[in-house]
Amino acid sequence: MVERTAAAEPVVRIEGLTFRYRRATEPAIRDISLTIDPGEVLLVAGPSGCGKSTLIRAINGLIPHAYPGDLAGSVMVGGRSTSEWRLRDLAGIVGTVLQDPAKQIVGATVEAELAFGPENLGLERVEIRRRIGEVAERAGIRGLLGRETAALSGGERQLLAMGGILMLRPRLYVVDEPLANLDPASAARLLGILRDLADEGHAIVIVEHRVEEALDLRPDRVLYLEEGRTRYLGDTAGFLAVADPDAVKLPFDAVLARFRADPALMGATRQPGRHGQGPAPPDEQPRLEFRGVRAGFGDREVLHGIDARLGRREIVAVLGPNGSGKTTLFRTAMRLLAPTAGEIRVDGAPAFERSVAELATTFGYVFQSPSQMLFARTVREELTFGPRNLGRDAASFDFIVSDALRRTSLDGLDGILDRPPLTLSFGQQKRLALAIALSLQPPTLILDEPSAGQDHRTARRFMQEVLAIPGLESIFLVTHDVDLALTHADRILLFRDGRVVADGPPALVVEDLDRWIGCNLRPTSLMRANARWRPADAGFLDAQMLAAHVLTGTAAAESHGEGGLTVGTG
Amino acid sequence: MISTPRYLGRGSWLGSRDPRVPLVVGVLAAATVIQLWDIRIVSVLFVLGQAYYRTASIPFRLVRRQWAFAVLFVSILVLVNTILTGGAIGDFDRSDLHPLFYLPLLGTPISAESLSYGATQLLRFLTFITIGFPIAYAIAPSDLGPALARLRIPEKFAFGVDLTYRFIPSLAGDLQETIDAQRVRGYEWDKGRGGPIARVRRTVPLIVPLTMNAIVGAEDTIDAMDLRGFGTGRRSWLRELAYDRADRALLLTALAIFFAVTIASLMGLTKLWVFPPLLTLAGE
Repeated sequence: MVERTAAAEPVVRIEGLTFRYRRATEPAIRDISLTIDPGEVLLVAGPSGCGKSTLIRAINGLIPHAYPGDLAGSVMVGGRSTSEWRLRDLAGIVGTVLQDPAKQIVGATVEAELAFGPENLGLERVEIRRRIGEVAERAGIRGLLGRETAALSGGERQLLAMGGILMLRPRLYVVDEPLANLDPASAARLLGILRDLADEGHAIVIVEHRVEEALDLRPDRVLYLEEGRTRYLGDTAGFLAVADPDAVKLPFDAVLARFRADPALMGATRQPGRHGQGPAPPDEQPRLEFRGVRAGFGDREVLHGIDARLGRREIVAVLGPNGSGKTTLFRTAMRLLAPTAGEIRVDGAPAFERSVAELATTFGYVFQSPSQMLFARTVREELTFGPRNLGRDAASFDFIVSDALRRTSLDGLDGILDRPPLTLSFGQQKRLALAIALSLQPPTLILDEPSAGQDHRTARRFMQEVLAIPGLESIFLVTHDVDLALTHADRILLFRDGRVVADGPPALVVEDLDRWIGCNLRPTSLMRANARWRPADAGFLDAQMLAAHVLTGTAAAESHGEGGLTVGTG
Repeated sequence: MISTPRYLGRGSWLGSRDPRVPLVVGVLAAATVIQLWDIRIVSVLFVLGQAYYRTASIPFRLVRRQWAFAVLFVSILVLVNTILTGGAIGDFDRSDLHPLFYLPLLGTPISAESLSYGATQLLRFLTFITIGFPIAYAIAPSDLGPALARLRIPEKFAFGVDLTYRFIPSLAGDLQETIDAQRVRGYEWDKGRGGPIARVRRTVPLIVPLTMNAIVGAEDTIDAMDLRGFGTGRRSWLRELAYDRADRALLLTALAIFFAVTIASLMGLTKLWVFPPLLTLAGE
């Protein structure tokens, strides 16, 4: 590791930074001051809307060059104010990897993408080729050379986006939520690259919700933001001692330590919500059944003969790596994609006998991003769109709308019925998408990545609200969030390469650690803690509940001890 | 969603050419055909165009729909513009026409000249399309930008074309996602009743989310490009382009045809040729 000294010139020096976007009424960040030294890793954490993205834009120069507004204080990069640098020159000092690699990648091939930055700087062809060779080696993407970017997986794209920045050889790397689209193996690889860069003397700023995994990077300091202000800036131990475990997902040991230090926090813990009624009896007719189902896109088969039964009254989570067929499974069930072989049955009848619209009265399908569906001028119009399409009686619309809003706790927002949906916050839009699905009064919900794009607190709250919806019989969810799946589901379907490789209660599915890791899933600290302390007759507990359980003194007697499930250290 | 245009001419003879070749040939072909009204010469160019098209080895089954759309579109265009509305027909004065019959209600004369003109126009369009398809399908997507830049097209424009060409299929993927999201709300665009306006109104649930997402996505893409120094100075291109012997031969052939047609045009040899049997039919 590079020895950092107090005498080293900081790469970034921010003093009293406050910034308000041109059309905003309030500043996005207020009075931020910090320095970032060569070789330092700074983790920036905080709930959604805390000002993380604005801080990044201030460091990489997009503020003030691309985002006008009122800026007070100063941001010095490489000894000069960002307003004095041209973006072209700043690109050689600050390299930024944006959250969504699909938006960042502009090259049609891997080489074209890697070359994009150096080409913009007018570097010679020979030099660009030399850098491509070096970066491909460093980022572990040599095998991707020659491939089209469209054919890459989410993890490969993220590594390529990182490679595109490595090509510019900046002194500071700013990485915005790099783990959001990555399965655990790809995440570990990316964190390894960042750690190596820091050890060589580059400065790293990483913004990440998934704090537990980001801590693997061994950050030197953590900046914890809340409502645009610095809540904490200091070492990791101090951060773990002050961070709100409800707002940021912390390692289980840290949650336990916080609860031990401040027992009052336990009072705030709540059950994650109701579970379903457990695995369905073998003779009960399932809500959804797959019999040897094959499906795919064009010549590419994604599902290779799926056999699965999803009960009428259970919560089933589908886990697996990117591209393993999780979402395709339910798209096929909804007849959005035709199976090439096999049969799908809904409540005992062949699915193909029903239209997509008819299936929507059984399955309320909530897509990952609400912005894919919101179009109407008002929330009311949005909520009546589905019932209108299905020819429901217009006299029932008032009841349907108020019922859907009540069940999703949106009814408390002032003037909600007349608000344009796109003016709602992301979390509110997620709940509106849920209300839209409920407006067709289905007994079952299908949730595609319910925690995507939400911070820990919002995602937890969202799931609690979903589980508390009255009248729902079953929930099927697709997720990357291992802890969310384990703590909420009655049953896990584990997918790999378009096949079900495990099907059973969470405790049983995680028993085979090799299989778990083989599915590119990360053993989490919560898994380890549940294996050790969870009561034998209980389901997986979330961190807060488990910590409370441990500290109430019942844990010792009920602990599985060291002989319990052994998982990695996380 | 990220996707890429279909590079269907990969590995073909034309697909192996310098990417500037299909672009230059396309421009020369357009400049050539636009001077021609003699269907006999256009036919020769159409046949040559077909031979050229075949060197791209584009599987017909994969572009069948695009061909059907293009043929339908130009057929309607020709039918409406040159026949139904009885618009201007080359250098012919209305008094020189040889009417075959008059359209009921409209009273438009259908003459030997207008039919010849329509047929020639249709063949001209089909020749454009034949030469143009390889530009879409036989140039590697990553080669379009460098090719345009090396043809002295301004770099920002060249990369803009490259980027647009790449993001259109991505937009199609996003559209499919939105269609799926609305279908699970009981939405079926093609099952509603009403006329054309009602059909357009029924696209609102698709167009609004698609547009909003495209705008938001474009902002991220612009940020990403800015942060890598795009558009702030002269850029270099990794892709090295060089014409080989076959490239030069092809370009010279296209150039020779262009000059030959230009000279013929200046000599008045490319004017509308009216089918003699039609003149006979009109009582000439």
